[in-house]
Amino acid sequence: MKKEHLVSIIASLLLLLLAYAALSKYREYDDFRFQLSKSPFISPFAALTAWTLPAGELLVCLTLLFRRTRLLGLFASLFLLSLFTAYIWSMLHLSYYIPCSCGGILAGMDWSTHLYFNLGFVFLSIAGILLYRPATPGL
Amino acid sequence: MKLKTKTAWIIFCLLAPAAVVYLLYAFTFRPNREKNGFTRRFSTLHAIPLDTLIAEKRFSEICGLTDHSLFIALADRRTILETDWTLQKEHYHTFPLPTEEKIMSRIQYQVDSPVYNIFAGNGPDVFKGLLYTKDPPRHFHYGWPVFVRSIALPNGLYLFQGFDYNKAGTQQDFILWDPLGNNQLKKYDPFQPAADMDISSEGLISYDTALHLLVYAQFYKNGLYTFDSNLAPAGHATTLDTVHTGRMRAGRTNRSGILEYSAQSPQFIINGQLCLDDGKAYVNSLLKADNEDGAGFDDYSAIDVYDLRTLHYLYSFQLPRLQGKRLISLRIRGDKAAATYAGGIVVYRLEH
Repeated sequence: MKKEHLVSIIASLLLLLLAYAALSKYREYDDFRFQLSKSPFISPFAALTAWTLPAGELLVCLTLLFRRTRLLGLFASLFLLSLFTAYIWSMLHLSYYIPCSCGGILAGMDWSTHLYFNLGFVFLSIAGILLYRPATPGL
Repeated sequence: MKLKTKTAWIIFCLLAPAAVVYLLYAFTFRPNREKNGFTRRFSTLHAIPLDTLIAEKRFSEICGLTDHSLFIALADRRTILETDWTLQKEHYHTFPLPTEEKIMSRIQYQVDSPVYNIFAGNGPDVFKGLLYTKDPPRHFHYGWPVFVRSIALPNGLYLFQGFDYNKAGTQQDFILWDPLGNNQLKKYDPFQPAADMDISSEGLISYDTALHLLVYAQFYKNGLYTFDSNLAPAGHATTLDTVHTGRMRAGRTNRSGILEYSAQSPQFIINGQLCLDDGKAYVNSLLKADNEDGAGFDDYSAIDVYDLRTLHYLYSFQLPRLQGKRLISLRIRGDKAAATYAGGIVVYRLEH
């Protein structure tokens, strides 16, 4: 399989994950904001995070969609997924209270499973970035 | 983009989020990683584990005890385990509760062997019967919106603790109810007026049959209250810690079309368990004292002991945890204690 195809598959998987995560957050917006307000780390910024986070995820989806911005999208995905992973790890190890904050099927995962799930996508993003070759040299 | 540049950006994308999360953590309330401003007076009392029962079952509250038996509710909500203090005997009592979701939404057992009371649903419905018989229990219904905890008092009355609302807003009420005449004898909100729907005032209630006192320890702040059997205030003191105001914001959430009133901030429970025995209140505090070792604090449950008559703090002792798990329920009788954990029960001997 060509590297280009692999990158497309990785970008599609990331796009699906982020789009699903963003839309399920908007669909259950009240619940998402409510759970964020119970997070010790995010509580003061719950209202702001509740709409900017899914908006950011959708923006990253857009960058993954177009070939010209795909590398940027892969970096942005890596950033977001690293952020989620660091957040989950710190909640598991440093927080005195753990709320639930994901919608859709992700809500069915416990926090440890979620950590490994995210780590998998972090590695996928890194692989996508390393495999990425611009169609036009120099990009 | 060259490989070197890509690698640099990958490292940035991995480290920058970690830094962001660290900053969020650094400015967060860290209850047991900082000094909490109080010290415990550890006595010579030691809790020595005697017998342990490890099981796949999920144990819940210890809902009754006698000199010979322990009664423990199971997570399936229809069954209680009766065992002895050596944890050798296992006898299960299953109750044919109605299948209605509303009734099964909340179940609380109280066993004063052989009498049992089951408080069910948000009604609440009360089922009162006798263990070891096939007679169906008596069924009482009190049409009150939400209950949190209930107690069957020795005089045949019931105490309900729960939330209700009126024009002034949501409040936490204690209600005395006579089931035979279906009479509400008293309705009383001891924490009125509260701006946060009384959610920050929530706590654990227990009844001392010797002193005829209701004892109430708050979850989120250091309020310790006693009331007589008619709900008249008998005493008020603070638990050992220094948390005068609960770190709790309450609010209304629309979840799938259903309005819910609940805490809208991280919940840090200060007083996690309350049990009474021999004129003393035993409170499991989840807050580390300044004279306790931070690393060791997760290996035991700190139990603070108060005199029920004066509400003065007496001393503390350490209850070793089962596999580091947090205490679910604690009951003390004389020189013995029983505790449930996720997946196990431990009986301790308390000795000086």
